[in-house]
Amino acid sequence: MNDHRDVPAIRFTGCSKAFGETVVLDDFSWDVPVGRRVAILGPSGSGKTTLLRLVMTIEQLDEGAIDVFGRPIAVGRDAPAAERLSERQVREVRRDVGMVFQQFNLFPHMTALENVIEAPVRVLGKNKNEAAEHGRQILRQVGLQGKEDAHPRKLSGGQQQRVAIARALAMEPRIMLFDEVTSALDPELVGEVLEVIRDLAEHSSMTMLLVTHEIGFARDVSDEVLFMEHGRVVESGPPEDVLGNPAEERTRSFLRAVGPH
Amino acid sequence: MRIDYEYALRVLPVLLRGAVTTLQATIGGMALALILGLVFVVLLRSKNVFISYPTRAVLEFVRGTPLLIQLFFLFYVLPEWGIRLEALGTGIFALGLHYSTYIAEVYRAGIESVPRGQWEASTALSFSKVDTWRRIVLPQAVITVLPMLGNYLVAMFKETPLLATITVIEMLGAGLSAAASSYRYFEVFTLIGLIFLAMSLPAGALVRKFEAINKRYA
Repeated sequence: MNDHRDVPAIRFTGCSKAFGETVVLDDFSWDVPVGRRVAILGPSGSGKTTLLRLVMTIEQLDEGAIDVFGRPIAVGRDAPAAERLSERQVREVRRDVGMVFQQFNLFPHMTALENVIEAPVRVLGKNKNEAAEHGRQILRQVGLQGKEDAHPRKLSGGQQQRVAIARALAMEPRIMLFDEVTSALDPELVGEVLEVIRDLAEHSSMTMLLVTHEIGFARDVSDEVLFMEHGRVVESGPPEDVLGNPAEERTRSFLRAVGPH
Repeated sequence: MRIDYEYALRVLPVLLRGAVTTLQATIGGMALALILGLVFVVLLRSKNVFISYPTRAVLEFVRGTPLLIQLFFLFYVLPEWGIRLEALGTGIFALGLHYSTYIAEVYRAGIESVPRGQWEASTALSFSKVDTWRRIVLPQAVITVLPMLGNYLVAMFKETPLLATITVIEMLGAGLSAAASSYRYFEVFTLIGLIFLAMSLPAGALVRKFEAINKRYA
């Protein structure tokens, strides 16, 4: 039943999350169909990054539930004991999900290739030589041939972020989460990272959630745009509607504010 | 005052044998401190207050009392309770325990210096807790604190003469018994000082090397 057509890649059911008094996600329910590319837009503090971090189980959900391919990955704090998830269950489901962070978060004590193969070897139990061969191939795919033995500090921001993408891909996830992956980059390095993601979107069937401020990129890559504010969805739909002809005034003023695109 | 070079030459082998014991005490004490320190920091970071609070109390207690008193206690009082350790063993245990309480704090600082993003990336890649610690957090923490650990190694090395007070024949103990019969205190203590210096200078150079490694990572 896990791969049944009707089972969404990700299902949010009544999800709420607050940091202290600040509500960042408010009774949020949403299905992401398998293979869908969703661009998530919104002003800072609108809950879009938290959405990804909840799926990745980096943040603990307050209320509600999140399922990945029909299997629970996160439940609220107040869930009855029978619904609580063991660490092992969560790890099992989480293997389907990969994430790329705004600040790259590469392991500084490892080379590019070691960064990429560490999880396949440790977590998936792959043979080291096989993992290395696959790792080299993925690094080539993101345009980093020849940088296998470089430590992150020797790489530009754009190169580091591409290693981070390769690292996530090496786990062969069926879902990829991109959290403002170009926000920490110098403007001239943004293009090379977006190019890699565009390429990925074109040549794979992965489900993708992309939190971004790059409107042009969102239009090109996504087949659904979600505009959020204050932990709620303001409007969603195909990019040509939400970005080209937004129904809500909030969306229009946001798009004006982020500039021409 | 006349310096008796011939005596100095004669007493040197005795002192060097003592130096071997000094080194044994230092290496043994440091190894124990590194391991105990890790145990303490794990207990200290426990979310269970029934574990973390008593651990903190033990650390404060050991740090707040002099090493010399701890040595005497272990050496003279424990046998009364039926726990008998030979002198060097007691010395190594006391040094290790005493320094482990400082090294636990060093580890803690090192662990806290590892950015949160490293934990988050480990979660995102589904590393087990053990792998996250072993492969991601500790290697980075240790690189950060290597110079501090080196400093504690040198400090402990220089405190080993305290072991002479519990009958360990390390360098000072050997020197004291030699000087007791020859009355050549100048030669004996000058030599001991020079041997200490000769051994701590390379250790100091090592610490600076660690610092350089550190800078390269930052």
